[in-house]
Amino acid sequence: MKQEKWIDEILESTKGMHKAEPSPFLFEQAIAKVRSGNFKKEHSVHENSTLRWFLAGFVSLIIMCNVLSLVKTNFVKEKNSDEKTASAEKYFNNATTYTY
Amino acid sequence: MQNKEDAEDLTQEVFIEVFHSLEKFKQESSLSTWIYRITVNKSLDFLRKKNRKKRFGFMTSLFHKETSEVNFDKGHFDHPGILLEKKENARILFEAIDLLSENQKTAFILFHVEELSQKEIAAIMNLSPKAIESLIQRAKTTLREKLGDLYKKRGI
Repeated sequence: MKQEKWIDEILESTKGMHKAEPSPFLFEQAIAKVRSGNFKKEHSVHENSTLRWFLAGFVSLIIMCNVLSLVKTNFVKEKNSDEKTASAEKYFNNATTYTY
Repeated sequence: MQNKEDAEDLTQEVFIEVFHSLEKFKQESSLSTWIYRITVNKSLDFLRKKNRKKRFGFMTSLFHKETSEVNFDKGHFDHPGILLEKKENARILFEAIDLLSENQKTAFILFHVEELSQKEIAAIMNLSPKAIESLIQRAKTTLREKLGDLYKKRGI
């Protein structure tokens, strides 16, 4: 009961509140930003950095894929050469058996 | 925005966005609804960015102790328009509001702080009035749960 009362008081604490007053220079600052075109520059810098990160991610993904495929190819080659050597040895052994 | 400087930066950004996009305004809704929509979107973007920075700050502080100089602790928020006797309660309420999901937070603030009607909020958030009603209801339920936990934790 006491808890419910406390929660109600908290939830109703915004009743009768006033709007926050901005600083008197806020409007002038915004106008100055529009006039100087700073905003567009800030925006483009942000877009550029996003693009840069996207490109970096893309390039690293390509590099990773290449490395993975290289490792895989080498592994397959090694496996194949091992198998060829083994079969050659087997053939050689068999062949020698025939001569004897 | 639970910080005066952030709120002023955002106000400027909204103003500039309105200035640049005024020609895109199709008069399908009222001008105030359109400006509210821009404000809500900008605020959510700003909060997301801030949360990303917070996470990044936390991660870097795990690896490099010396980079953890930036303090990402929330700090207490005092809304300048709150009546003096309700300041402490409002501070607790804003901390709890911060824990809500984006949609619940937006609907609750527009309804209880901005005192807009559910119909106006529906137009701003591009949702039906019924959905807004349920969002506000769910926000209240979640807030009651969080505040209940806090009550028990504090042993008031």
